[in-house]
Amino acid sequence: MLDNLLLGLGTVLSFPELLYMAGGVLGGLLIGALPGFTSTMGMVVLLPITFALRPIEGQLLLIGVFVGGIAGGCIPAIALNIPGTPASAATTFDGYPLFRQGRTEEALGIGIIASFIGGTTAALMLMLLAPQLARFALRFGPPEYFALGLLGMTLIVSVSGGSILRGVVAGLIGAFLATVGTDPILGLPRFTLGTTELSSGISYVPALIGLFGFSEVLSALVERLQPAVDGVRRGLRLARVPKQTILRILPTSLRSGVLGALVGAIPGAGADIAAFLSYDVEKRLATDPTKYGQGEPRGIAASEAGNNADAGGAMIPMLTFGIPGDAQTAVLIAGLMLQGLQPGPLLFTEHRDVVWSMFAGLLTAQLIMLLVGLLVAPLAVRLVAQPASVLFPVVAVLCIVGAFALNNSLFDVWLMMLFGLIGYFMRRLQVPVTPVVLAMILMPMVESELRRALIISPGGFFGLFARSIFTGIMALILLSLASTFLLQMRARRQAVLRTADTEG
Amino acid sequence: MLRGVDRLLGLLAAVIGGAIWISATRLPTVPVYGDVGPAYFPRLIGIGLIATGVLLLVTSVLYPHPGREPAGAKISGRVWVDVGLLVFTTALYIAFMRRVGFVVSTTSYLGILSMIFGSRRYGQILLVSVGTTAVLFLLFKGWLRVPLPT
Repeated sequence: MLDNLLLGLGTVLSFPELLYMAGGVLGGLLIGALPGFTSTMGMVVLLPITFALRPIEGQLLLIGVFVGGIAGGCIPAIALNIPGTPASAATTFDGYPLFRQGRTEEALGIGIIASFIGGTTAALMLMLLAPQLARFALRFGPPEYFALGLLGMTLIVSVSGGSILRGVVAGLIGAFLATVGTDPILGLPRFTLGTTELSSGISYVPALIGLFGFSEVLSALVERLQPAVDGVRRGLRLARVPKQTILRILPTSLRSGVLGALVGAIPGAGADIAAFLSYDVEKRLATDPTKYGQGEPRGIAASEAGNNADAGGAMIPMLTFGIPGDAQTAVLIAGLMLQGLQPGPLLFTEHRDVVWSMFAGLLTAQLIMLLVGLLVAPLAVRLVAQPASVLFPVVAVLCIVGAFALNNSLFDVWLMMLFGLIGYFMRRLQVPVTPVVLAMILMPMVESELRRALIISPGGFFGLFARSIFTGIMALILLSLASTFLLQMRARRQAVLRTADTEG
Repeated sequence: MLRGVDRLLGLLAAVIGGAIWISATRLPTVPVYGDVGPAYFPRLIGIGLIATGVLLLVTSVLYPHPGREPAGAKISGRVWVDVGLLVFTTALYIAFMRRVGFVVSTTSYLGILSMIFGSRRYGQILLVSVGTTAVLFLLFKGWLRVPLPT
């Protein structure tokens, strides 16, 4: 393992790889600092650029944005009481009270340091667990891959918010879009309307850019998104945290790191669940739980370590089985597939250099995030003062250029715009957009593996249950759904109790 | 409003599901593969959409009271005009970017979008539009060698 890690570090720490990753981390931190901007949006806008880079360079750029974006989410949560993403919602509980006490630099520093500890813990767990799981996954055949694809689709439950049925509809629409093009087994055209553009299918990249990028531009225009700068002080300095505080948050960050990584490894659970669960556990363990919600540093640490560790955890199923743990890892999968690399167990044997560079990249990105974050986080608070009229037009152009750059095709740009409009109306009607993309990425695998499995299975679908691994994965799906339901209920109860406390 | 959304979405899902199912039956069949031909998976999707659509319709009828989720805020006519302008400008940009060229079309597009977003600082608009276009051109064309619509 050490040899492989050194091999990966050798790649990551060379030029221009390190530059791409550092740029990604910085960009991610700034994107995360902007309310209304998400790390997923940052990653999809940059996705087509990675096509022009070598696979490792592209992945390191995306991993940089991924790590920076999640850590940067703590900045608006602390300084504006606005969680940039649901994952940072628990950070507002103690981050904003600390900010109100005039301890902005300390609060931001705690958030960044805890993100580093949580993220590093998860990266180490990824390195230990993923190769073992990948070795095990080499025994998988078509039925098992079909079951794995279904396991990936359980993510719909966690991203559907209030209505799972709406998420299922969105997922099925995505599944249908994935069938447009050429049949994966027999090569016959399906739903192409006689056009050559559709014969190779609907690319998920314009869909990703439209649904996560262009639709955000429309939302920002409708909501008249303006930066809330009233509470932002000028003249912030370097984020500094007293040594005693670092020692106090260390056990919390380590515990939350392990917990967050485990939650992240469950395809159905998301970073918000990891953060709320970590916060809940730490509050229960505290000798004086009443301090939580009043600016307790361990509250910020639990939430930030939990949600950053979730990112590393989500990379476990992504790399070993090829199924995304969340929307960001779906973009990482898209980035690998754009380079002709299929995530899964074979990646560990055929492209060991790419896998270990990604591991080393995730580890190194945490260190860069720590250094850059402590420097930039207080300054990034000022970035939220930039008007929407400057930022969102630039995002719109990046979406268009990105969609074009993929295949040098205006058809993809029109497709991106169409998905942007669809995505906007879906958000407006509170229908989640992530299931559409998730299905577009996973369904080609699910369909071809299911059909292959049924062709070779003498007993039809139920005959597949004679295979122990297949049955095990199907049981895991049920377990994943049940645990996600329970974790979601617990996270919601925590949020409701917190709201009641605040209002009371 | 939300139960109304469920009704609309349920109806839409059932109709789309039905259309997919019917279209799938017209796909060619390959006897040697039996049911597991090109139509197999689209048919499953169609059935899934019909079933989910019906479930959404039924739940919206059985539980007609709005849920705990907040309804989306009403959008004023002025905002819809802005959205229409943004979509129209984007469509024009996409349609003419090759003929007009990346630099001119992108500078104009950025300027118009800034104004749609409410900026009236013309100096800033000019600076951001020209600056962003130059950076993007150099970044994509010069450094990354990513094709641009020129």
